[in-house]
Amino acid sequence: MAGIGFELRKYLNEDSFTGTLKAYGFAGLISAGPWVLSILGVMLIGIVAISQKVGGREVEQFTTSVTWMMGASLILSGLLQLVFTRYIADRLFEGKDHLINPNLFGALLLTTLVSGAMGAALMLTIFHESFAYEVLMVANFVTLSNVWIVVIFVAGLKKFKVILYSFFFGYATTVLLSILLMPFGISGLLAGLLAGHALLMFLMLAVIIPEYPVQETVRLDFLKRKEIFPVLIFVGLFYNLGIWIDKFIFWTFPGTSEAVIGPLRASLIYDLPIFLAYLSIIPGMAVFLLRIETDFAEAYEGFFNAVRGNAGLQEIETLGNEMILAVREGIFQIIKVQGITVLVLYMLGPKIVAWLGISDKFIHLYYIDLVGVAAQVLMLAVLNVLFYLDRLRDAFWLTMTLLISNAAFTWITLQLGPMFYGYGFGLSMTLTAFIGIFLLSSELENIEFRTFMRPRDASTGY
Amino acid sequence: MSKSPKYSPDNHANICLLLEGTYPYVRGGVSSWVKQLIEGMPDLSFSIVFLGGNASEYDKPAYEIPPNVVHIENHYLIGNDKEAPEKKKFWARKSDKTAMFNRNTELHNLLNEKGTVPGKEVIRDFTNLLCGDNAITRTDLNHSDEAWEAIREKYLEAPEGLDFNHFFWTVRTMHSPLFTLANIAKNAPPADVYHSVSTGYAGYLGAMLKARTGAPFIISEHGIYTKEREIDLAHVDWIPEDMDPFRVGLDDSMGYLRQTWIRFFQSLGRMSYSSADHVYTLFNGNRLRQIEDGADEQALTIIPNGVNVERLSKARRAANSEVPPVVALIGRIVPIKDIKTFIRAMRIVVAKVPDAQGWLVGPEDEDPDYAQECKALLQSFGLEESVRFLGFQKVDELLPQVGLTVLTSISEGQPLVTLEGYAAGIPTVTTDVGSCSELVHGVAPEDRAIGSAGDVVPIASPGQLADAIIELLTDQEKWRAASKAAITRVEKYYDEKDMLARYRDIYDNNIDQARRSGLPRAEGF
Repeated sequence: MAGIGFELRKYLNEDSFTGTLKAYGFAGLISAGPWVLSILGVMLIGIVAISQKVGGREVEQFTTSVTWMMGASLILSGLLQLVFTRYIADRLFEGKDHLINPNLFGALLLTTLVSGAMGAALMLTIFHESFAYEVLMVANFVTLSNVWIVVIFVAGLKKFKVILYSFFFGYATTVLLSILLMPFGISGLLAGLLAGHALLMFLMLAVIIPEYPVQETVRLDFLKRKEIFPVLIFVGLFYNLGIWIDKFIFWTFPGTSEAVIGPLRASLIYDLPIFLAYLSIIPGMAVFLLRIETDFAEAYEGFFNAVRGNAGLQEIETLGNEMILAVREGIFQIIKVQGITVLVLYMLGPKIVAWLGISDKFIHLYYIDLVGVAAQVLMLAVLNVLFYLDRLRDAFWLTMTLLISNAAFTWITLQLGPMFYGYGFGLSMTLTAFIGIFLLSSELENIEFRTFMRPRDASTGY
Repeated sequence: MSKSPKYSPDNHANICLLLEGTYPYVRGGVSSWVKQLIEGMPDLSFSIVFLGGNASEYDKPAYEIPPNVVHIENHYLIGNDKEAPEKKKFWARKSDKTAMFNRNTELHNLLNEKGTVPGKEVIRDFTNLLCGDNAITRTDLNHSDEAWEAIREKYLEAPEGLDFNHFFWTVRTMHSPLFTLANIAKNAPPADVYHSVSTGYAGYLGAMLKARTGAPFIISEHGIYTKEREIDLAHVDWIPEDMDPFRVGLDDSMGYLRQTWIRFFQSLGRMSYSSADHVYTLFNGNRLRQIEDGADEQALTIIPNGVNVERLSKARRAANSEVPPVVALIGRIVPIKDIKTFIRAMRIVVAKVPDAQGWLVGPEDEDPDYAQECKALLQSFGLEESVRFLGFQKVDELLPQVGLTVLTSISEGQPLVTLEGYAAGIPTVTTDVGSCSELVHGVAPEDRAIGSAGDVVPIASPGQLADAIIELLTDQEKWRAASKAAITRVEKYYDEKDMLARYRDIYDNNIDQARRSGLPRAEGF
């Protein structure tokens, strides 16, 4: 069990209401905290800016620029995220600690070069903004792409607290600097963001790098065909593209969007409800992290120790059943907790919408987004269990379903008209979650057979 | 197979030799025998199917390949060879597969029935299951539901609490080579006669070839394969070392897996015996063991080893020359030869006969750790001056300097080195294993009348061994009588000419039979 599981288990073992609450609270903080901080951070800058003399138009340009950069950098670094963390996990398992830092440097170097080149190329071609804006955009894009690599690296090492603290200090800096630099307009806001993200990244690196032998070499072993699982490149890309594709479609579709700055567009009707809905993932993510890091991780270890060790078949089957039970229990809990959250936020819907000043006409968008986001949490849980079980092919099909269905359904809803907006995303997430649960259950049904007779190398053809 | 020194699978041969872990890659008694056979019949053509363990263990051939070897193919039983993808679709194969696995279970049950010899139909059906148009493949064994069910069922028959992981891998590892054998059998080199020089995997390959081609199939067994595997299994390293020593039932569990392996090799042996048209062995002790293991008494014949008496007689010293106080153990430096007992005995010998020399003649690279232990023992006795490791030597040059050959082995068949010593007029002291006692004292009454060609002592008895060596080295009369008996015995019973003549007859008869039935030349010719 990793350190985080140990800590959560400690709270749970207090065997009291407050202990359980602490466990869930902690899990919620470390799982959804960074994400909530980044949304709140950007929102806060906007709110503060509007109250100052910065124009509303410029604030909108800023938030739109940031949102595009977030999406684009996640998708770009998604190519590397999973394949890289898996490479690191395998080397750590083999005890080859000396390879960790050189490859981390390699991953950061590669990300910097690719994102820098892409960002620069875009700025030189389709953007015609001020020089300061273009330079800051490229710098922010490069920094964000690197941030995601470092975050997933640190998350893979289960150092969630490091991520949380770094995000807290990073975004606190961003907000403070933005207020100070506000007189410089959008460039000032972007500079504040850049400084905050850079701080955030270096904080994480400062904690993580000393944990492994530090060598002044850069290695790109994670690109070697024989040492990695190339299918993970696709999984990472499909996943990130899959959860952003509906937004991109809405931003580029003329009827639902407007140009904000350069080629970047935003969709007022679509964006606010969905980002609002994303704030609802906190309870589901907390349950997810808690269950997967405690019960499931323990059952998983028990089962595979038995498989590799000297256990009899009955014992292996019993432990297999315990693992199935842990997965089932975890999924039920996510459904329950996220279901209640959705219900509460549904009932509060009219009040929230009124408070934020969104048109009543689009309240259904907020409702369906709540459901879609809930399904996304479920799918994320399933995907993680599939990774644990090393079923990368299933993960591949699942994320491909996500991408294709989200793109197709969103496009269809655009044809059907405003009353259907959001249903594409909601339906796609729900469908993917169901398919994921189906894949997982057929995977678990015969877990002993599959473990012995269908190890991964026999089932991946990629 | 890239390393084969002569790969031309279309070449038809009179005899296809099925060789497991011997000639032409590994030196040893059996390899020398195979070499004698091939070189002794230059007008017959031979092809060789070599079966090895790991491809990396075999480098260049240890012997020069004679011109009458027309084809050599190498196959390795550890690690999978590539399998052709299945032609039929999964759903088309599904129902067949269930039937095949059911038959497979039935056949296994037949094999396990105590005291029965598997009939020809068992081998035929097994061969069909492995080589037929719609065969069970390695992929099936590794990945199919049916194989999983079959393994589960077998597991449930095992003693309760048996370690499933090791059971599973035992089953898989032991069966995996059979698919390699099936591929060989499907594309076997064309030959008049298939001749396996052991049972085990090579013997089972012969059984499959017999079932598929109908060509004559004979076995010559030197050591007893199943017995040798039992000795190997007594100290194998596939048994995990990091097991919890406090686990209850540990010994039972490992014992059961060992038994499973032994049963597996016994089954291969029984199927080999029952498929062979005839089985040849070196001496009566082995013949009795083969009968016990399920060979048909009627199909068993003893053909002893032979050495080139004419050539080796040149190594004899003049009749009245001094006996050199040199004791030579010719053999690989490995535990089965029990070199340590030799060293212990030499300590006693040197104490009584200070100028006595002990020579260890043979390669040390097979088990370097053991060789190192032997050298350490030697040093601890301070015998560096008297006992020496000479490595590999040419016998013809070595024997004139030797007074006695010695074997301390804990297992032997019919050692050629003893017979070579005889041909050079050198008596022997050996442990009482294999046919050693017969070689020293004789078998039939007229053989025994020749007298003793040395002495026989129990295994692992350095004191008795030393006494016997000292007696022969110091008592000139006794030595001369033994030397005379050695020469007489080897000339009368163990001349290579006789051995070759008998195999020549066997080959000729079988080739005739094959030609008459016109069966085996069909493919490729």
